[in-house]
Order: sequence, then C-alpha cells, then structure tokens
Amino acid sequence: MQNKETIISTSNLSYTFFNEESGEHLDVIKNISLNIFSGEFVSLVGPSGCGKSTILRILSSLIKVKKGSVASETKKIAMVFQNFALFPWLTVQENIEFGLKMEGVSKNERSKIVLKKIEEVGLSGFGNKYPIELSGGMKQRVGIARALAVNPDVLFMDEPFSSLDVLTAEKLRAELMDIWLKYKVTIVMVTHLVEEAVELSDRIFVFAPRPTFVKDIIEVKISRPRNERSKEYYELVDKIAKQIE
Amino acid sequence: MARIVHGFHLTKKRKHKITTGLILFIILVIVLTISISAGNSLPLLAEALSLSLFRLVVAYFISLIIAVIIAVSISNNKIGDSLIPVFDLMQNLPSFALIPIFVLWLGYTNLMTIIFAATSILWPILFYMLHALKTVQRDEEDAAKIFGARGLKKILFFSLPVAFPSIVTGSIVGFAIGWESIIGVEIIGLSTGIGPFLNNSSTGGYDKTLILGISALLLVVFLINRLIWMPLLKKAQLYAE
Repeated sequence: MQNKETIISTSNLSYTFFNEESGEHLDVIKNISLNIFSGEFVSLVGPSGCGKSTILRILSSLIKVKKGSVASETKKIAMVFQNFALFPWLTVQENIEFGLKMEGVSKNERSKIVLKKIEEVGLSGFGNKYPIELSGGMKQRVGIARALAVNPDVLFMDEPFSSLDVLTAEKLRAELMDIWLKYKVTIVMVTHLVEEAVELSDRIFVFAPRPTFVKDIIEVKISRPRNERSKEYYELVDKIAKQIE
Repeated sequence: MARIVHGFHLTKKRKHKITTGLILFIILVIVLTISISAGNSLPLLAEALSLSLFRLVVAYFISLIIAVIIAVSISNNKIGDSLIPVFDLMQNLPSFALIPIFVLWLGYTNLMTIIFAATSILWPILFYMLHALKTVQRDEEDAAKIFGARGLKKILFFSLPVAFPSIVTGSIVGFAIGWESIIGVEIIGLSTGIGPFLNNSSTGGYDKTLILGISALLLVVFLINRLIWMPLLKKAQLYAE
C-alpha cells in the first residue's frame, strides 16, 4: 500500500466548532494527519459523535478548515449519505443525472449514462418514480447511482448502510464491493460498525473522541472475499472494538 | 395556514366536493338572478372586479420577485442573517398604518394601491421561504454542493425547488392579505375597483348590487383557489417528502 499514490492528505488538521448558544469554542478535531491512497477502500471508525462525519466533510472540502491543511489531488468527487439526501422533487432518473446536469453534459449523453447506472444498481423500471415511492434500500441505490454517474475518482460515504435493515445493508455492501472492484474508485467511508469496516476496507482509521485524533491505523490483510465467520476476521473486529470502547 | 388546511379538506372527500359544487352553483344562481334584476350592473361589476384583480396580480408578482430575491440572498450569507429581525419588526407593523405614508408619496393612485398591497403580500412569502431555506437538511444541501450546484445553479436547481412548497403556502396567505389591502385602500380613497363598487352599493342603498358584488368576489376567490392554488399545493406535496 505504501507504494500507492496519495490522493488526499491532511496535515495537523484541527477544527473548532463554535457553539452559538453557549458562546464557546469547542475543539472537535485536533492535529489529524493522514494519507489516503488512490484506489483504496478506507473506513473511518470511532465512537458515536467523535467527529467522523466532520472529517469526511473536511476531506471532501464541504467544510473549510482554518488550522492545518488538506491537500487533495482529486479530480471529481461524489458522496453517498446516510439519509440518502435525494432531491424529493426529482424522479429517480433526474436525481441520478443531477451531477451530470450541473456539469453541463448534454441531455442525450445524460440519458445514456443514467440508463446504464439504473441498470447497474438494479433499479430498471423505476426511473420515473419519485423518492417518496421507494423503499430505503432503493433510495440508497439511487444515491449510489447518482454518485457513480459523475464517474468520481473519490467516493465519500457517510454511514451509507446505517438507515437500512440488516438484510438490505448486507446485500448493498456486497454490491458496493463489486462496484469498487469494477471501477477502482477510491472510497472513504464513515461507519460506526466495526464489522462493516473490516468486511470492506483496505485500511481502517480508528478515531478517539474529544477532541478527535487518530488512535490507530489498521491495515486489513484478510483476502477477499472475506469470510465474516473466520477467526482472523473476528480477532480483528474485537481488536478494533476494544480500541473504540 | 388555516386556509390551506381548510382548503385541503374542502376538496379531499367526495362529500366535500359535492358541497363545494353546490355552493358554487348557488353563488352562480345568485349572481345571474341579481344581475338580471339589477339592470346594467353586471358590466360595471366585471370592470370593477377585473381592475381590482389586475392590481392584486401585479402586486403579487412584485412581492413574489422581491421575496425570492431577499430570501435567497439572506439564506446564502451570514451577514444577511442579521437582517431577519429587522424584517420581523417590519412585518409586525399594521400595514394600514402605512397608508398615509404611501398617500403622501404617491397619492391615491393605481400605483399606490399596487405598491401598498405588495408590501403586505411580501411578508408571508418571505418568511415561509426563509423558514424553508433555513431548515433545509444539511445532507441535501451538501449533496447539491458536492454534485456541482453552486452560485446561480444552486439557486435554480436547489434553493428554489426546496422553497417551492413554502412559496405556494406563502402565496396563498399573501394573496388573501392582498385582497384585503386592495379592497381596503380602494374603499378609503379610490373611485375604481371592487371596493368602491361595494361601498357605493352600500351607501346608495342598492342591496341587490351589494349582494351581487360580494357573490362575484366570492366566486373569483373560490375559482383562484380551485384552479391555481390547489393544483400548486398538490405539486408542492411532492417537493416536501
């Protein structure tokens, strides 16, 4: 992994949150330095409320930082959200083509790409439905298709399976693995489920809270497809879980 | 808000649809019967009502444009945030108290009526919109940003669709307030429009013309609700998942 090209790196990253009600400045993140390599699947794990989503938003430039720096070689990024964040006024098809439309891609070209993505995520026949008419799993498929449609080099995922039932989440995780292997896209995923991180990731960043810092970086050397019942899998899950407790 | 809730129930059930149809039929019968027996008042009424409606529609579009511009600008920057209490203070001012200022400025004219009405229609649209834009889900806004909706694109493809249900709601409330403002100013100081038509009918003792005027006004308000606001509300439901 060390030979790989760094696509995003942070140096002494700190982030302070201003609480308007109390008028206090809270240190949310302190001195985080990390590298993300091109093509790898990285998970950010840590206890609830430890600022994982904030780090993801800093890495994706949604949040600007004043202390420390973020160097990004990304050309195009996309994000998949916990609560899907689909636009309710747009159909499945229109949601998927949103990024392409913003880029100014022609209607014909957009239609071709969207049809392909709809098929890829198993939503054929649902193109004209509105998000309100879809189940949680289907909504997240739209979210994934919307992200893949722009052909990103980095895909950020913020707890993408947390709002789904266990079976749907398991199925979507397997499909995400296929997508990752097919597109070789860099994936940075926030999750609070250690098992999920071990199942999918090349490396896992373990964070500790208040203020958030990198407690450990774990390279997952278990070969794919990973057997979730294997000894090495469970040993690793236990090791990380202990660090989070 | 009460108007909207009432409006939904008015047309939701079949029983209500029948009742609505019946009321509409009765109003039409009243208008036609009285107009026949009250001689030549129908052309006068049509002219008065259409003039008032014209004033109201122009005032509404002025308010809508100003509300959209202010709401979008304020919601997109932190400095604009501090203006919200100022607007809140201004909207609390009883609008009729401003009539003397408008008269001093423009006299009792068509333009004065329109601008005065616009200042009263503006507030509900603006505040409903601001509420929608301020309470938008962070993830949705992040999604818009990540997928390239910035600047004008963000306004057109994100902010306006997000605010659409509140624009409709604010418009319904604003339009109702607008009727009051227009008719109020017309009665106080103008000689044309539905206000003077009703006022002259009352002071001149023309009961039939007065009933005719009110019935026709009711009919117009009902038709605007049914043909414009209801379909827009239905569409707005889709926008607010």
